[in-house]
Amino acid sequence: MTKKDIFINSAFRENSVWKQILGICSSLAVTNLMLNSLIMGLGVTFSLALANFTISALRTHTPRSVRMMVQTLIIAAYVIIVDVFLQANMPAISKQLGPYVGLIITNCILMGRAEAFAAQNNPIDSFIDGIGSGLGYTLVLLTIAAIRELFGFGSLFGIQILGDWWIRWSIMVMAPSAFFILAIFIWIINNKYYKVKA
Amino acid sequence: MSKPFSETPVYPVVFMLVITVVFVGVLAVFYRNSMAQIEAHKVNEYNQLLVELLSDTLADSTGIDRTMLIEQRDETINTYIKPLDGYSRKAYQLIYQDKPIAYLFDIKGKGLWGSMAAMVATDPQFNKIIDFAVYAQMETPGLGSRITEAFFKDNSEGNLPSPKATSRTTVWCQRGRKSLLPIRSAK
Repeated sequence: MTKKDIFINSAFRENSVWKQILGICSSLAVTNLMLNSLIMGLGVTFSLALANFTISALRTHTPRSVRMMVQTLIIAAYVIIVDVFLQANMPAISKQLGPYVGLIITNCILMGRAEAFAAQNNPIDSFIDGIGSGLGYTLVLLTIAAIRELFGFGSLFGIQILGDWWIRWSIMVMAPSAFFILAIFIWIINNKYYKVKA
Repeated sequence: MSKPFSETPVYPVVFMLVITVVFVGVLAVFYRNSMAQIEAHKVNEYNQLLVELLSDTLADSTGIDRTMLIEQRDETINTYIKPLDGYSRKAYQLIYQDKPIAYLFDIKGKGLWGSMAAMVATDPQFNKIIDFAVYAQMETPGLGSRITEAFFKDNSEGNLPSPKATSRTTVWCQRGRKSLLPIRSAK
């Protein structure tokens, strides 16, 4: 598989959210604003790419009996770096994202890619897979957030798009809206690209 | 012939130890370098909330615009807000023309998943809660963490509730009241 194929596969064909239904919790939790979603997506992409790279670089030396512990440790280290960076440089966003940055450690996408890809491929391919998976996840987050922020606040990335005439849909600001938007999104993608043949 | 080291039972333990030391070391250095910035943000946020909670009372007494009091936060603190020393928790008094016009108490207590911290501002007679805000909590996002939102905060303002009341807001207010009593008796 070429580097381009690895990227396209992890970002689109085997997208972690709409194809593998992983990382749903944070997809629902942080998508009320596009900026929060972007930062969360970039945080996941950073942690995922570097964790994949490190896990892959150490894979031949890692004893099988402790590999899950090693993977968790490596993932946790990169996530803590993201968390501390946000606390130091973007305190407002760090506060808005709350515990969800720390919870990237338990995001199934990271352990899933570590086990399914990084533990069996070379570091460069694993890094590309991490970037692809992370950006695929970010794409889903931004799509949901765009709908929620536009209808809920009348803005995109905090810039007012709809005027004062717009009556805000308060349901879009609340968590349940993320459930049905994600469900509709997955339904459309699956129907269009992954239609199950009888 | 002896086994290579990587096949001995001790290898996973040594490997895990080395990896742990390396990553914890990197994190420790990174955190140390960011610590000053993080602490500065926490102090700023704390002082901002302190001024915001007392700004309405101060604006009413002094006639200075509330927004200006908040914008010139450090000057407002230096001029009007004095810490009260000698108590087990942080407390402040808002002083105008040498008289206290409000008190503010930093209260802490147990939440569901961890400890919580809040500020309660009261009138000088300790009869009324002027303002209230939770500034640190570890509750479930979307559920308990909504304690920081305005709808919850607004419930806490007004007269101090009866000691027999048992709602969560009341419990918080009672903690505020407990903080007030030593100061009232000291006066």
